[in-house]
Amino acid sequence: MRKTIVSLILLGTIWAQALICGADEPSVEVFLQTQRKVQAVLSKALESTIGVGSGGTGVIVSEDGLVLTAAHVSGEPGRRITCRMPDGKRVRAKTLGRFDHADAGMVRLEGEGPWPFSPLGPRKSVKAGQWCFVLGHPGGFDLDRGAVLRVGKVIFARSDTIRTDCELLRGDSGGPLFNLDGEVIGINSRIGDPLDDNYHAPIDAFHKMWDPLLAGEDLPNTRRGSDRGDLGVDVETHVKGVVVTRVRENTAAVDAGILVDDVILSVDGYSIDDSSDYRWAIGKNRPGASVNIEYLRGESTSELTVELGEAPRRGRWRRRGF
Amino acid sequence: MLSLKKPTLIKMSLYALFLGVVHSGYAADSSYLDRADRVNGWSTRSVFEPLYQKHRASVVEILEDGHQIALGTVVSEDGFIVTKASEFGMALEVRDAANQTYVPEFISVDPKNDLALLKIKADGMKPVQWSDDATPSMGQWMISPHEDETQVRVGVVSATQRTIPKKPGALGVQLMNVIDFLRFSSFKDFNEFRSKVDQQKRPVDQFLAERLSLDDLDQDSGEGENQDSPDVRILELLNDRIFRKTFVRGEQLEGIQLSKPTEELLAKEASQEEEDRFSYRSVLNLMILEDAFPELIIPQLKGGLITGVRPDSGAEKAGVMLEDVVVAVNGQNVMTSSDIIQIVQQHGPGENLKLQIHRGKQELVKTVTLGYFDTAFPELDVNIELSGDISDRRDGYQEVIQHEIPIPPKAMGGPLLDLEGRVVGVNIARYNRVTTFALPAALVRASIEKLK
Repeated sequence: MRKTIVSLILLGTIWAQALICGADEPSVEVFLQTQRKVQAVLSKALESTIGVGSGGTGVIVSEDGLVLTAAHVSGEPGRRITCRMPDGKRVRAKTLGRFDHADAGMVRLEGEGPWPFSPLGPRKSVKAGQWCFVLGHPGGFDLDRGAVLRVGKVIFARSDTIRTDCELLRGDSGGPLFNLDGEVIGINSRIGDPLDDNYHAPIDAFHKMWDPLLAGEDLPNTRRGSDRGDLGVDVETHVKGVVVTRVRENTAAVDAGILVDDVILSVDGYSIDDSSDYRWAIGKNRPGASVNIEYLRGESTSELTVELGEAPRRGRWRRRGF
Repeated sequence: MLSLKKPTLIKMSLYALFLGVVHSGYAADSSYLDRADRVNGWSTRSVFEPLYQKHRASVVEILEDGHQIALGTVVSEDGFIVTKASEFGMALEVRDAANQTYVPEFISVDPKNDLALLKIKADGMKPVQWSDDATPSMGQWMISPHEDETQVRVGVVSATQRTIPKKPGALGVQLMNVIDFLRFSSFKDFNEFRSKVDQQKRPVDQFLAERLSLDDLDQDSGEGENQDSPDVRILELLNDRIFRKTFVRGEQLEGIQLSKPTEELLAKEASQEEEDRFSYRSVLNLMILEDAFPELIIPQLKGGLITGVRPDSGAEKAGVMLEDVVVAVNGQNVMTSSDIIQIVQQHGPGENLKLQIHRGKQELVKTVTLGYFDTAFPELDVNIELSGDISDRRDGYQEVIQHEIPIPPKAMGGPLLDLEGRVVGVNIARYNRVTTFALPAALVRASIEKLK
């Protein structure tokens, strides 16, 4: 009798648990639906996927020949490079801006359009668990083979990178990550050892840096060591922006009157989506640089101009005389 | 089971409930996709278990010395099985789904298509159902058994169905032009070099490593690549077939690149600094000298110097050694390592080449069986290094279906199934991290008929 009760209770909890998180049950039907959606947008996606430079990939996103690719494929702004269309034709192009932090790069094709292109995915639309697909030229452009397709799922989406289980290789860099509507939601960036360690520059990084990239700007990276500006707060990713969880003593934040629970929404006009975004937006400045901070306190939004301090040295707790 | 006291029972139930709640809360973290829920995670791919179980009996293990080296696909009730040919010798066993082992009655091999047909003594085996679909479409889901054939993996057809050209075979050696070596080491001839090495009592490879960096041969630096520019690039027309770029930094030889002469290169060569052209003249002079005075035999100025022998390569197995100078291949005299490479590239893995070798004062002939290029030089293709375990033979196929199902070399020979359970192809090569090749059903069936 007792055995039965215990088994029933244990089974009960497992069953209840399955109910709670059984939301997205996989099924053959889900796979077939994904296949239908991918195949419906595949030819357009293939038309807009091109070889960029000497062994990278890119995607055309406008009729007049704007191409998104990886920063490490396009390299320095203002260079002339060659791209390859799916039919093998070589097209000259010029490199535009570069955003190393997210590995986002832009290129402009030369010559008459109209070019076949893929639309961009909207802001804040990429979610863990969603189906997606990749096109690229692993191992280099191969006319007989064409671009290679991989279908997978988003594992996580951060402001500076998206991880999926679409296997990538050298040569795929700069190629497009699509959602099932055929919209570009990422650009292939790098891989780790395991087969499901594949990273992509998020389309949101392109959205947020669109104008500077288009204008050919070489955007700065997070600075190093004590040459990095610091506000003096600890933050956590919030529903919108980042929330201050601690204000450190004797810092620029104290002088500026920033309080715990303030939510930082943007820095110098750059919208902060998560703590990774925040670290870059502040850390790309030198100590002493003036930054404009938009923040939410309670119900009201305000702005501050703050002069950044110096990033703390490692082992700062030693200074407190332990 | 133990008899439980009431308090313990309550504690246990509460604990189980607590675990359940905690686990469901954790699993419901919507910002991170758990491994189980990824495309080839156990939760997702278990969707295909029922489908695969229907056909599981058509997949067998191919064993050599008791270890699994491949899978096999059952193609007839009376025990014909097809598998990948290039993975094994002849001492095979077959193990079926019921864990019964058989020794094949006969084995027949189709080397061109990399297929082998085995026959075991069995009745009532479950053959696969072939698909009529000659070209499955890109984006179509497929499933295949993993190397552990009780498990299935899933992926889409990922590229155009096409021919995969055969890569030439490899001797498994690193080469350098004798003439270049001598020039940079400033020795009169090989004998002087030899005596210097002997005097210092050091092996040749160490000697070379100290004096030169051996990044020569076919390291193609494309246009967009970021490379530190070496101090000097010496451009030389060696003869009407070979143009050589030599990269020097300080006194260190950085690398040598051999290529066909082009208008562009010739123009660059003509506009070089005078002292750089000296090296061009010295080489040309030596060649003119030999032509003009053939009786002036300077045997060691010609040929390819072996500066490295790859382990397990055809060259190593044939007894080719460091410092050997190859002066002829299959009876054809060779001046430079480029000449040797050109001949090797006309032959495929498994073919034999006769090398005429000078070893010190000895003259030898070594017959080398060519191996697979990628197996001998994995570091030349970064994608190979990033791919983990891949098949040895992975090219030279008349037609392949390319897909992304992540299965290892030991799963080759297993079937590629569509979601109706029909066999579209037989997996033939794990090519790299993103690619597996399968031979289409029609090709496999035609081969089976010939092999029977």
